[in-house]
Amino acid sequence: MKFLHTLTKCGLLMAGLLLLSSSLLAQRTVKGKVTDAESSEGLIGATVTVVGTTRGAVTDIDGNYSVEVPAGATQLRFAYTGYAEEVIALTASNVVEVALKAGTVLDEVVVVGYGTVKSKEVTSAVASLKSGDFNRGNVTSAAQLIQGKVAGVTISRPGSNPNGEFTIRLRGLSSLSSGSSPLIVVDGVPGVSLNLVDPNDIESIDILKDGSAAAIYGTRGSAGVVLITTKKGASGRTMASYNGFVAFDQVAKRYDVLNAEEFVQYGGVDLSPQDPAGGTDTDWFGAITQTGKSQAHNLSLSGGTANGSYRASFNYRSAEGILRESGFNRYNGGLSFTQKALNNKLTFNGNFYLTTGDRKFSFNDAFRFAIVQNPTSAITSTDPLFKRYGGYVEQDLFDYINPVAIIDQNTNGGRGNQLLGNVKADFEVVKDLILSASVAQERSSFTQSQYFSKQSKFGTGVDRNGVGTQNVNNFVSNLLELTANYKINFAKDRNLSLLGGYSYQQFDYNGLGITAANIVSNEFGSSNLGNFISTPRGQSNINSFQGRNKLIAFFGRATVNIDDTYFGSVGLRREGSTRFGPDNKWGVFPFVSAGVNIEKLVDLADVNQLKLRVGYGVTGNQPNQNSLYRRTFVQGAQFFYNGSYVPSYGPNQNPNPNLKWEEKGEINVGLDFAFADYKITGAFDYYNRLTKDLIIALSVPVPPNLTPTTFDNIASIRNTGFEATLNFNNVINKENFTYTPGIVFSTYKVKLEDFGRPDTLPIANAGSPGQNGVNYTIVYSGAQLGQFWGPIRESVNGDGSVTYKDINGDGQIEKDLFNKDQTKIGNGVPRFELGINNTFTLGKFDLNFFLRGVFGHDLVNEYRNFYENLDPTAKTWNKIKTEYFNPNLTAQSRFDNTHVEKATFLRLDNATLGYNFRLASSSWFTQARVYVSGQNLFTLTNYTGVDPEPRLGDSNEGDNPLAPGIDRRSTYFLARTVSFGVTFGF
Amino acid sequence: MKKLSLIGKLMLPALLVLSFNNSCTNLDEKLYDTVTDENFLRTEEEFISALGAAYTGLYGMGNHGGFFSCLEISSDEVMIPQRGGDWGDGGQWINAHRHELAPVNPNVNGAWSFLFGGANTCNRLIFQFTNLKNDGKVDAALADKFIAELRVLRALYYYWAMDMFGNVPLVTDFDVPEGFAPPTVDRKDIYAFVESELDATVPLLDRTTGGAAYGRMNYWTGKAIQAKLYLNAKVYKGTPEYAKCLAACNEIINSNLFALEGSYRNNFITNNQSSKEFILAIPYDEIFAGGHNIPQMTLHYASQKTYNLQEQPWNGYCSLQDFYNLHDDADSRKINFIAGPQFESDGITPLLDPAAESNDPDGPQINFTPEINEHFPGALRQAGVRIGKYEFKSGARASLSNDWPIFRYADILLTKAEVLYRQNAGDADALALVNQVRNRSLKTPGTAYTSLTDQNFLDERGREMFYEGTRRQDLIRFGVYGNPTRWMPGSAPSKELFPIPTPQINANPNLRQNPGY
Repeated sequence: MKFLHTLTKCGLLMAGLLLLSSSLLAQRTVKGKVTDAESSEGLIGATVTVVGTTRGAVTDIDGNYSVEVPAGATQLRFAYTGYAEEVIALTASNVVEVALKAGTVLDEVVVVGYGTVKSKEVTSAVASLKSGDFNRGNVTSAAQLIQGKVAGVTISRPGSNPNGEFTIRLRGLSSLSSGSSPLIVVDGVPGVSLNLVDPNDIESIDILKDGSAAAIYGTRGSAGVVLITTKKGASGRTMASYNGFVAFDQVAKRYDVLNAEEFVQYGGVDLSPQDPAGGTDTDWFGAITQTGKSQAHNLSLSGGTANGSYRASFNYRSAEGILRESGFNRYNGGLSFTQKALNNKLTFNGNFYLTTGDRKFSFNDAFRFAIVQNPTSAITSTDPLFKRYGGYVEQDLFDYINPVAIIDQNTNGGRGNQLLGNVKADFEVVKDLILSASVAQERSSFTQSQYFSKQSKFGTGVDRNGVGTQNVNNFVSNLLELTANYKINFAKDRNLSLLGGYSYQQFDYNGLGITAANIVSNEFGSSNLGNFISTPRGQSNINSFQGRNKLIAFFGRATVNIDDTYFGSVGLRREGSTRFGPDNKWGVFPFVSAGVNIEKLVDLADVNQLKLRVGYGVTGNQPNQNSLYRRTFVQGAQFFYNGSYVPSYGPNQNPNPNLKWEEKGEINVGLDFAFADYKITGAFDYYNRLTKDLIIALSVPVPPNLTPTTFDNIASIRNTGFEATLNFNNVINKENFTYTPGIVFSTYKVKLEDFGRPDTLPIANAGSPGQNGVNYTIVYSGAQLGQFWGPIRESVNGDGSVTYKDINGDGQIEKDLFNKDQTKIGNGVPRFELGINNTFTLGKFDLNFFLRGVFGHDLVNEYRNFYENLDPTAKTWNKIKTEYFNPNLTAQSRFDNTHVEKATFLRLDNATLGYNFRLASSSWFTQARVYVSGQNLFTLTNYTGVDPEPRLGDSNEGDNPLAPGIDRRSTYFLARTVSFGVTFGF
Repeated sequence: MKKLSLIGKLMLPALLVLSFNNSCTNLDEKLYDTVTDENFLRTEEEFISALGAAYTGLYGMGNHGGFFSCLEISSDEVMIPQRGGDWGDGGQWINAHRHELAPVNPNVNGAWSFLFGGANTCNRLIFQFTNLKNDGKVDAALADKFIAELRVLRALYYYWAMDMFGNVPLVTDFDVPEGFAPPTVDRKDIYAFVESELDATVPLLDRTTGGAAYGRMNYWTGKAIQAKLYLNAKVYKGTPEYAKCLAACNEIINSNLFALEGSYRNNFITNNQSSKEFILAIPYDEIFAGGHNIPQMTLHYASQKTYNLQEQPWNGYCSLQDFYNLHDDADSRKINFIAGPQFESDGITPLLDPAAESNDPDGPQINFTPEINEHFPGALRQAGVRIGKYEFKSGARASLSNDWPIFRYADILLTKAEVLYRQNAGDADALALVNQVRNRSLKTPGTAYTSLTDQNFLDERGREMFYEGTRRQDLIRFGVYGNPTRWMPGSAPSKELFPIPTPQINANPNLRQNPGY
């Protein structure tokens, strides 16, 4: 890949441009005018494409166009936002005039579970994004494509870790377990990983937001459903395309820390005498970060005949993060085909995606240690004191490790493969009755290897003479689905569609982990754990696991369209899971929705659509672990029996045979509208969802119980919210210039109606150093989600101490953990979110910029909580210097309201400037485009931490969704990215 | 007809599904790595493994944050000062030492879980072995032996629970109705239960010691529990039980199965399992039976280099200056403390903390000073003598292999002496017994006691039984638990009982909080 890297760096762009001048085939020029069918006025900016190629043109201010048509081409396609697309067969004439009819946004295909409907027929809250709507730039994950683009969908990855996963949260919180992420469906295969498909290969993403839409996926639909449709081939000429970019990540924001002079001035220990060079002022943060260089290349080939089509693609990505030694290499191949047989009665579809790659995780702890490292300390030293650390300067202190040594001495990487294959056969038994069978398999495996060197203080390497680990995880899911679709057309625009189906999915997983210590040489790393001395001594740690679970479902749905005016959908899914006891395996999840297009009933000027829709649906959620309903035992410590140690088995879980499905009932009321010849389109939605029987670990008395908690269906959560989507299509449409803005807005509230216990539960432990038992968040029945809880700082006194407010007014101000003088001091959940998209075209140039704002949430700035006061630790640990820094404050660091900051922000998430080359008719190319893209170019916020992005769960406690809004010290820092890319079509 | 055939075709997939076989709707869970009631407790090997759970619960004794931490830190022999940024932890350690524990203190709940988890494991196993015996699935003699042993172990857990919390729920059945919430039972009734349970079951236990019986409940363990129960009877129920205590002690002493080791230290070395003083010990092992974590809990971060420890210590637990000063240099039990300047494992290279606080008068070389400059927040990192009672093997892992005495012969000798002394302050046998224990550790034998007083008796118990979890009980029995000490401002008698943990009261509304909380 060195070759590719060099190529992209130096001259890919040039090479491409040179090729443009070549010519190949005989061709002609076709001209004409595109007009509005009603007004007969010319349409500016309509696109004209030669079918089977990517060649095309755009109409001018009068609606005129001129396009080079290669020999062999047979059709022209005319498209204009908000208008019906027309495909005109070419004749000998070189003039083609066409009048377009308004209204087709409503005919766009929307993917729903087990089928598609036209946009106008949708009666639930469904969002649909095509590839043209996606985010651009250095996009490495499907989630990133739609971040901020869909009202009600929060997508968050605080920091810019190239290996970090995006958290997707739809309409607040629907479960307290890890099932809070939406179900991902790729080409009809449910429950797969979002990372199976490269973002370049995605054609559209549809999101089923409300219960009436998601309930067809029954038990896994509670947190919504994300349907990914991959790009497919089309019949016609063989096409090839290349996309590529290089990108550069730079640190967007860092904490200011005390420099060496300030550190000593405030009483810090001067360690520069340890450094033979003397006079050190080390930039620790600079020493662990870098400019991350990334590149991506995508090649695809597609084509087809009347009876079949195919598409093949290959992607290569390499990425580097801003933290040294973090990044990945990834290869991804995709193949999809469609083949018809038996007089087109039988259709085979197949999709195969293979992803393989290597990851380098580096160590996020380096960020934290870089912040607190003594600035007078050298990074390395020849002092014999540090020989055992390989010359890196280390101190014998708690929670204090040389971050450069962490990165230089140790390795933390992984290697994995993911495969998704599915084959589907559709057979039209009689007209309009289609029986389908689909089988799919997803496979993934990942091996993570770590090595802590013989000299590393980090990871106990130096203590145990080298430590190596390997962890292997394997996952396989197998799916069989059988469906029948029958469509009855009573009249034009009056039809009934029926769907029935069966689904069987089995999930198998197993894994192995080994940690070994004490090895002769660092050279071997963790490659052979048998070489570590702990292994032959029987002292290496080995564990493994295996499990299986299944979901089986029957489902049916009836959808009706009466005269394009009244629409309805009703159905249910009956689903069973192995994760419940014998009497509670099955659940029934019904749904119903209806809509009426008022515009068809009442004559409204300038209104093209006004569809009111109402839906109600019940979805379910199963626990995220097997066997929670059983009494289970685990092997504990060894028991000294008759002079030797034998294994002991004790209970680790109380039984609860009554454990059952979590159920969410949701009502959604929405309005879809289009005004002014479809120039303004959009939707409003209001929802109210109550999730009950939420499974939590309930505290129970011991005795009589064996363990202090039992899993039970206890809690309930209510989410309410409002969402708005507004699109202004070509709101400005002047000569050579168009402007299309779009806005999404959403707001939601999450209330814990019942938490199954009478008291308040403090959660989210602040932790070491010195704040174990200090909690950030409180939950109780009736509380809003995400309340921070703590004392209020009234003043910093002359002696450097802090006076807290006497909240309960008892005259006693307790400064300790068990403080009665605590109150609500913030909220980690945003009030509303806003996305503003702006697309401009000027001649061959296009400019898109996307502003994303999240408003009204607070964040606990943990760096400030731990490393701000000039308390006794300031002698040893460095401190951060934000606008809140107060050199007079010498009290012990202790969480209070001043560490909770408003984190409202507005960010220029993405700005892309592109240029489309005018292609000679003789060119080999059908498209040539260059662009430059910037991500995270600026952020307007008062938050003093590195990233004001909302934290949807507590990363220190398994992403616990009950404790949002805590900016933990383990967060990867934020990057600003600039990318340069090209797109060629052949 | 056409419509009908359509419907028929619609039904096809459903019929297809049904015709596969019932595996299409089979949702029985296939178990792989999960151990449940269904696939466990069938063979003798599995019975023994199940019994093990009752004992391995005891391994929690030697680590941080639970039963033993609560006992020690609330006494005057151990504390964890807040060392700058470390060990503040919301005041949970400070409050424990100041007798200002709140019911929400997580360590109190940890202690409760240790005790009642243990007691209830015994309930479960008694229930299971009874069922297996009734069903003829286990050898009846083996089951009876296990059940008697488990009843004594359960009595031990209830003895501890009564000692610590006073009024606690009493549950002896495992098979209780769903949602059963046992009420609080008064301390004296728990006492009565423990007493009658021991009376009924101790005689059934084996009288052999050591070897196969090591680390298990036997007749002598039962007698030791009785001795301690009766020694403190006045605290528990208002009336003393001197005669019963004396009888239990005498039985142990007269068995001649136990004796004082030649040296005090022998009880605490890495390979201490052959100590003749152990009546019950936890058989810790660095590999098989982890949980003895004292080096981590007490030593300075840098002390890792002194003992070549495999993990960095936490610089927490230390003893108090006043308690340390009870030991003169002639008392070999002073090795219970690590004090003074520290060195690397070569014994020559000074152990350095180059980043030592600039207000530390001792400079960069680590020096464990008896003086602790303050309780919180600015205790110096080097302040406080450390707990050196157990030998730290060079290169020790996170857990030690040193076994942990729960009942030791020296304690029985002192218990007998105390009962005699309480009945007659001038009792010669009492003086002889105390001096028997004392003289073993004195390098200059001339300093034997010539008479006994409350103070010198308590001091002697303090020296002998340091960090064996008896100090709190002793202070209460001698009536001085609430007296102010260097970092404890004095406390009300109600603080002699720990608070019932908030999570327990929330989970069981029938529990009653102790007075004063």
